[in-house]
Amino acid sequence: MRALIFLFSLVLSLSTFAQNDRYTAAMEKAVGELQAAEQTRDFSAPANTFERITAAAPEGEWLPAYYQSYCHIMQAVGAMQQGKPDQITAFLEKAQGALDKAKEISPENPEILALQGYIYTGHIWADPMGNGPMYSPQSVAAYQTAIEAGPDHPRAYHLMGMHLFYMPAMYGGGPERAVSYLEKAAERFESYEPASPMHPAWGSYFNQQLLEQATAKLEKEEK
Amino acid sequence: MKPTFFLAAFLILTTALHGESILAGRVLTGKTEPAVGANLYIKGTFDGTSTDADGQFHLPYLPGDSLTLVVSYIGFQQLEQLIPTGKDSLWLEFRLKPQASELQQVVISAGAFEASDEKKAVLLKPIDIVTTAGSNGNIVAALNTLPGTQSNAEDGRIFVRGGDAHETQTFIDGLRVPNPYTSNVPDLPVRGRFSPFLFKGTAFSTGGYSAAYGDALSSALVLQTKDLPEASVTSLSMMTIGAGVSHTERWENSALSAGVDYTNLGPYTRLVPQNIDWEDPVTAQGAQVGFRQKMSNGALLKAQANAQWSGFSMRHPLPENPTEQSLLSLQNDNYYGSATYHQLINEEWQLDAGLAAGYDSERIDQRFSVDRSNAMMQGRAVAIRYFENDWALKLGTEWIHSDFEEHYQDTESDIQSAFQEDYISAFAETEGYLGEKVALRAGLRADRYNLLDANRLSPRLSLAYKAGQGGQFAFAYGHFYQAPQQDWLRFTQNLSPERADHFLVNYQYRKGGRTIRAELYHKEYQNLVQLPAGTPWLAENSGEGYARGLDLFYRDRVSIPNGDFWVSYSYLDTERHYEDFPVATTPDFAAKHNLSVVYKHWIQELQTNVGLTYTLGSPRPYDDPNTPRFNDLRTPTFQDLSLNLSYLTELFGHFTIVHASVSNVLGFEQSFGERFGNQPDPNGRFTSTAIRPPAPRFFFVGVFVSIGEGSTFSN
Repeated sequence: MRALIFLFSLVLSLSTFAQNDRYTAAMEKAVGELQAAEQTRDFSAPANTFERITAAAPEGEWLPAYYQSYCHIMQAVGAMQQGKPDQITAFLEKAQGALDKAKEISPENPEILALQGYIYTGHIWADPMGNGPMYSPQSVAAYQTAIEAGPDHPRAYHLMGMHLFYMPAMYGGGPERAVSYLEKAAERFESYEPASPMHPAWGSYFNQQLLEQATAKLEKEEK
Repeated sequence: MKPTFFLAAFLILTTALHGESILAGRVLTGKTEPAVGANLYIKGTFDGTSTDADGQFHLPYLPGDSLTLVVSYIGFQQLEQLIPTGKDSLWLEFRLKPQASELQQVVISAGAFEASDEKKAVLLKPIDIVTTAGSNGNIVAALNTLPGTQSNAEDGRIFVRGGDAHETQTFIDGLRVPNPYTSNVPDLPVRGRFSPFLFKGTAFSTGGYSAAYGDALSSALVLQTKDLPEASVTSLSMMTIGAGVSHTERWENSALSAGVDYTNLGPYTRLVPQNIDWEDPVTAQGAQVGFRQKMSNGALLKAQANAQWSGFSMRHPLPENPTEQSLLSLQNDNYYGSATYHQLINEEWQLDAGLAAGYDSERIDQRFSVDRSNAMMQGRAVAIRYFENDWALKLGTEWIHSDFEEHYQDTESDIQSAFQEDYISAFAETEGYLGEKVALRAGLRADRYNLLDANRLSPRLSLAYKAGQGGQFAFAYGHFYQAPQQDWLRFTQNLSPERADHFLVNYQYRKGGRTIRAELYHKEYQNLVQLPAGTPWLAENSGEGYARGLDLFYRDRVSIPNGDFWVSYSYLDTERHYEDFPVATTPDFAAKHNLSVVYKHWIQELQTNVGLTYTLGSPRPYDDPNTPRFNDLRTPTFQDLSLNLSYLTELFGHFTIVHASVSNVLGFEQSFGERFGNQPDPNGRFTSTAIRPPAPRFFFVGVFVSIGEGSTFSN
């Protein structure tokens, strides 16, 4: 009998909160897809899934749009590695559209601000000589705003470090400047606790790799 | 465990009871290409699927109420399809249309060359202008590598499609610049007065331009100054011919910049062989200030002022007496300041307003003296109304007041002349799309020339038609008026505006970093100033002429890794019967064939950009008064190969560019005909002096340092 009452109340609550639960379930599934994609480097599946969730997300939820944007940026990274500059721009434009939605929901969010810098950095890959002069200062400024908005979040430091690592020294980049940011990112990846398992948690593995590469380069230079 | 089991069973049961149906089908881009990984989902739910490698999809759904299926795919327009109620299973096929991205959109292209960072469908980026070999920071020299221009290296100004240099007007932020070139004496090349680093966008039109620009017969060069700079920066430059320093301070919503520069060709001319016998080689001092303020209502206020003082003297033979050197000197002071206000009032209205003032004074001495001054004031206001269907209506008005004075003195004469001119205009122009394939711009401009007591109405029309992926045809037509040159107006004001009608047909094809473009044009001149018996006091508007030709342009950024090149070729057929021409003939500034090849290569390992520019101009006519026929002599073919190197490095931790360039690397023999005296010598012959470049070659080395954050290419 008790079990029956429990079941009954559960069904009731299920119908009342169905939408929210469906949202949670969809997000959990999508974050799972994203984790798989981090291994396969094919982000088309989670990109589509997050796009669906973004289109029907309950009010005030910035995460689906954020992740959709992130997936498109990762697709742009793929396009860069395959040497397809036109596709980089197409993916980044879609990423920007999704991020604009996320910004509207959560304006001063450090994670979203950091991703904005990532999109600007991405435009440089499409045409380093042509886009660098305009986008490089914009991305650096975006990372700095993100750091000010959330000094304990690791990803803005990580992305700034990455940006500086790939930027030639005379433009104000290089391993030495990158290391200070990558180290700060590493400390924060250790200490920072995401608000929920669904909140952004990416970047620590790549940060570690970059940090090793940058330190190795520095040591080589010293010799 | 039990409740969970029950729950699962319950859920499965309800789903089964509802009965699932399948939406299946295929998504294609174009006729047969499958869209791989396209996103399909039911609107308002999280349910969806992606297409497979064949573009196919299967989407189980619960057929209850009617629902909407959304199809989304990167680079293509999103589709929504209503699925009616009560259908069981459906097979659907979708064909997606490419997204009307800026790159694929049809654009007004006839006569237009644009360099911009903000717009994507442009042929050039601002950086392309700076890195063009042979330009040495001179916008005009870089533009002279584009089709429709001439390589008149002894002059330096822009000559467009059989038009004289004064037929090109320069506009900065919509405001006309009265003296866009540095001051010089005839046969010594001038430079553009403004640094290319001041501008975020350059639109160079060789014909058929918008009704927003007037009083120009042949061409409009429209420059847009930069908005708020990204960051504070201090720039230092040290060059073989001078030095400069500037600082920009950026606050949250405003920025202030100031700079000074000093040029002295003295040490350089003593080191490098010169064709000219300098007494005091060129020296120049410049000062600039700039201010930017972003207002709380989102409006942007820009103000800037420039001052330049330059001069030189040299020993130069008079054409009347080529054996004797006489001292020729020039002194020029130039001031120009402007302020513009730009505001997006709401989603529908935009307002642009501007004020400018300028003063230029020039003194030339050589057995005669000319004192000339030009003062200018102007105001301009443009309102733009944007409509929801992508159409825009532009309404504008402008007023330019100029004040000209000249005092000429020699042993025999003393002539003072002065006049004031008020030029008032209004224009209306609409621009938008007729369907997906046609872009249209139609405008009408009304000009009032107060001094000439003339009113003129100029219609302008531009059309573009998209023909397939990446290709488009364009057409432009318009009437263009311009006041006669000050050289004639100072003698008589009993003149009317000169007129040119433009017809342009253009085809452009671009795909993945390659652009090819061909343009045919015809230009008809009327009411050109003629000087009966060579007498400027009798000037009248009875002259006429034509120019027609073909311009070709090819740009390729992808075929050579790290290499980028463009090739411009212009064919020009022009004759005019004007000024003191006794017959209709090709003027001395017009070459039939012009070719430019601009190549840039980025060498990653050396962090160096190498640039090469090759220019060729076919012989141009000039007149020898000793022969009975007019303009029957020909200059030799002009050729030049310029080379530049930009090495990007660090100096004390600051971003530094080391720039070196040399013109005429291969040592082509460059000469531009002869200049003859006005009076015959005692034997009845007109003597002449040869027109040659100031030096066989020009070498330049400069170091540019930027101190500050994110400070690339800011000097």
